[in-house]
Amino acid sequence: MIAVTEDMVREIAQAAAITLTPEETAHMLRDMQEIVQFVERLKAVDTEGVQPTIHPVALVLAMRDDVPAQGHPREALLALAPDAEGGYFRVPSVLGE
Amino acid sequence: MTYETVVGLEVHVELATKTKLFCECRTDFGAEPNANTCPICLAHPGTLPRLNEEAVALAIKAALSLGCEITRETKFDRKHYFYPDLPKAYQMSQFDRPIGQNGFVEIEVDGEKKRIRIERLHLEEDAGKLVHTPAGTLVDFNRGGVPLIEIVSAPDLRSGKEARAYLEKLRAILAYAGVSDVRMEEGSLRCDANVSVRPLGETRFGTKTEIKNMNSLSSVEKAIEYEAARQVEVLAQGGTIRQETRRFDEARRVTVAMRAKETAADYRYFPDPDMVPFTIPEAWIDEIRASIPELPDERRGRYIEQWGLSPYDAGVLTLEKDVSDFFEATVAAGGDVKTIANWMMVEVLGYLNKHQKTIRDVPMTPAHLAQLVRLIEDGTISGRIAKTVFQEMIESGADPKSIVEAKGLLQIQDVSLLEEVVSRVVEAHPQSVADYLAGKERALGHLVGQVMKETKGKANPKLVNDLLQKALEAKRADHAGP
Amino acid sequence: MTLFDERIPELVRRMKDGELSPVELAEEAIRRIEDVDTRVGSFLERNDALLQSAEQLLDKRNRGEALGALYGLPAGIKDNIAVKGMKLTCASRMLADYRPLDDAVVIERLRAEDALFVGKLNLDEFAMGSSTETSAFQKTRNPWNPETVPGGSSGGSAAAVAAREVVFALGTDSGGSVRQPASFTGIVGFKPTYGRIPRTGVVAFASSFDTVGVLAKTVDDAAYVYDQLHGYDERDTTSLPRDAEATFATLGQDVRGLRAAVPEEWLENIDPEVKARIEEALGVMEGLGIGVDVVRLPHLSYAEAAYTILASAEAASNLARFDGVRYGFRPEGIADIDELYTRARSAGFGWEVKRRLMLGTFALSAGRYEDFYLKAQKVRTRIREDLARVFADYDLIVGPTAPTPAFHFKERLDDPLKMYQNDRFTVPANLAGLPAISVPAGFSGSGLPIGLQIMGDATDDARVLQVAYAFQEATLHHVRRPAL
Repeated sequence: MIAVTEDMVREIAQAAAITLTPEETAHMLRDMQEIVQFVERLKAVDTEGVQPTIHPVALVLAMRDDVPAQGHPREALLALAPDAEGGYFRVPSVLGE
Repeated sequence: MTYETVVGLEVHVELATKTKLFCECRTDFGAEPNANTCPICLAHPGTLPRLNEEAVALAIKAALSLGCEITRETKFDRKHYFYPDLPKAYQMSQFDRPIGQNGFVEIEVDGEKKRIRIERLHLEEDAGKLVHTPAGTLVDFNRGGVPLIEIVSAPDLRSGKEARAYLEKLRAILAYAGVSDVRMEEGSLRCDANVSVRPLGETRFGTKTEIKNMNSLSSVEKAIEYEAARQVEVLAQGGTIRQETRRFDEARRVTVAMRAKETAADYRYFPDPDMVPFTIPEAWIDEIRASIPELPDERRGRYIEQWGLSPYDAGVLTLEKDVSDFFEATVAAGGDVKTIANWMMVEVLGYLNKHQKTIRDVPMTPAHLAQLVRLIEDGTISGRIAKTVFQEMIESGADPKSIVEAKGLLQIQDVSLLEEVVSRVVEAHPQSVADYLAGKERALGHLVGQVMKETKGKANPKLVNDLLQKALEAKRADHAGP
Repeated sequence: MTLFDERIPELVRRMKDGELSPVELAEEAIRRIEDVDTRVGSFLERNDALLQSAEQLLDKRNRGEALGALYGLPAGIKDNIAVKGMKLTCASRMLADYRPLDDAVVIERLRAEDALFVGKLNLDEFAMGSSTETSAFQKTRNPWNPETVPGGSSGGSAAAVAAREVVFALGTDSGGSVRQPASFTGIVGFKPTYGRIPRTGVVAFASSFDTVGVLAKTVDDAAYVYDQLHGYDERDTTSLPRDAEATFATLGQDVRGLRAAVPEEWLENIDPEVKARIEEALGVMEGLGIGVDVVRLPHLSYAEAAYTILASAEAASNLARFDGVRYGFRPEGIADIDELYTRARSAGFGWEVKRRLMLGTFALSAGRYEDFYLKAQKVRTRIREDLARVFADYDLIVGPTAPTPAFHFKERLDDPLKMYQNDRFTVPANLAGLPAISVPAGFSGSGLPIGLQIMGDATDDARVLQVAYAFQEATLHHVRRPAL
């Protein structure tokens, strides 16, 4: 049995780039404890020597020829950005480089 | 205590495809910011990856050229981290089934041969580029999604010099195989080094640091030498090495600790569910293997055996594919192989080193170099004049014949003209004539020099020699005469 | 009775013959939406150009051009499928203003066949949910009872078809999101074999589960539309390479002699009225000459747990791209990049999405990967093996689509396990990529619809539709419509 703790919730929230208020952290802790306990029932399944399923149907991967194609003008793509400048996407300063 | 340096390199190489790994955007260097982007490489919702077959082929080719086994059942995995240059917030990479494994590269340092093992070679996509400004960070995704191979060596390197030799060799092999243009200055080849030290004789590894931001072969060598010395110093003073990432400061030639990560990164790799795992057919591997051209070691062997070059010269001439190709093209254009090799070694490489240029940067063609060598061989110009012509030729790209004509550097072959100069010199230097006649052969050299000086170096030296001897022998006859 | 009660092939024939005009149908859609949508709440965005498009289709006919198979049919599109020129919100604040530059492949195909787009339909945020209550924008009500949910995540699509606001709708089904709302709203929801319909332009929730499906009032309508959607597209390398045969033309084929298996656990712990309707349905099937046996699949009871882990893990990864950098929501007054990520994502995503991102991140993290993610992948294999064993002896697996009829708003929203358990009969088809359909199988005492699920082996899409059609034609459940 794995015990979901508040620290664990905080650590996972950070990895998922989500901030939770103290109330939300407590709520998430309850939800996760419940869900994790539910999914832990899988431990009962004997999966010795079983190959994991990555994809449900058998397919041969089709690859693409190395031929360039011009899509949308970059202005159309930049127009969707919350902030763009001189052909670039702009974000708040990246520190610690 | 004597310490041993232990180095492993992680090298990223951009593959020479026309389009990105998962979309049809171009990969050309130097395009306008974000000109080479589309909804797929900008990770718009609803987009799916479409694998570029040529990228897989080039990765297989690279792996085979480095003696790797090919992982036939392979797949892509997602490597997660948030950073503004990574649109999907995961990088498509290969975790437990790298396309190539267990390869090697042979290096030679100070006459000693050594085999450096390659642990793995995998395919992945590049990230975009950040430009930091006071008004925020700007992001250019042109490079985002460009196919890369990452080549991880075993910790088999024991010095900065070996690391450099490994990198030079790796670069040569990849360039010969035609999988990448391997230009460090454009970032199509990038290198990180894991460096540790340990007391000589110790078999366990010391704590390693990772060095980033090395932008040239010489900075790789210097950074490793500095870092190893720094670690030895820390240990000698009773300190311990911190596992951390350090940056090479090119200007100060030192490594500097970057912001230390509080916890080890957890990339949460898992198989990409937008693509199925795939099998590389044996026939495809055979076809790619058959297409691999002559690699540097083979070519070096050919220069030694077929053309009789020294192992050293053959090694230097094959280190860079562009140089070697230039050399071969010159030989093919006609001329004595050894003379051409000599010109390549001394003049061409000397010039390039001095001016920090590559053979691609100069306008000179192999045909012109071959012509220059022929002009010397047929006596049209002297070796000394040839050096002047070469300087002009490598800078302007003009053909040597025009240079010779335009500058009036044609060798003087006119016997009557030279006879005149010779008789003038003989009259003007009675002492040297007397010395010669007294048996001091050296005096002849002085007289030849005087003739060359009078003719501004253009006289055919052999002819001058002959005419002078004839004139001097005539003097001897006069003296001995009645 | 509205025009939209008529079967699709008949509507198309009448328009092609000029008895009816696409403009009349478009006007009917507008009228219906104005009449009922304040009570239903299916639409997130309506297509302002609907009438113009209908007029263009009319001109096309007048010019004597060839007309498509879906000529003039007003369709509704779940708002996680890209329609050029319209928003693609996924019912999330994160994408509230996002407009895609390209049509999804399915939209290209509908357009090529001259369908009309009425608008974008509500869903659970990023298709995560079973009630459409997790939409950041609005509530969609079940046309049969406004106090109950329409199911989800394609709740807007199901409600719009049931309320006759559109002739058919597209939805997506990753764990039952087409079939369960169809069951709750008394219509047909068909999820084909994984890969039959390309996913390009469909916002990924769980890539190895996501399947585009059709919601329509009858099986024949669903088959007719499905025939225009399936087939490989090079932009989705997980789409199936072999084109399936047309299914509509095969409806009416004899189903006598087929064998159906009913998993024992599918008749346990379910609403007694659902059980009664399903048992009646099994009787109807036997009457059609289909042999019905109860079977036991040892790993089926683990389906939801495996699905919960795997779908959440894929979702956590697929939704990592929403960071407010290249498109999407970005809050004001951000100081540095880390703050951009956390604030954009915290304010942009609702609670259910966060819950799944948390669980998915947990299941993939170091030290937990083997016990959760990898284990679930292996259980997925076990379940596929169980199903394959059944399909060695049987042609179909049948049972209820959902354990209960539509439930009330807020009844399960704060109880994730209860909500997830809704999916227990539908997730096996997604775990194994199998075709499955929900068809109306009657009503509860309070007048809420109940659906029968028919599942087939991979690529047996036509057979699933044939059996569902035979069942429909032997019953009258599909004829009843909600009194709105």
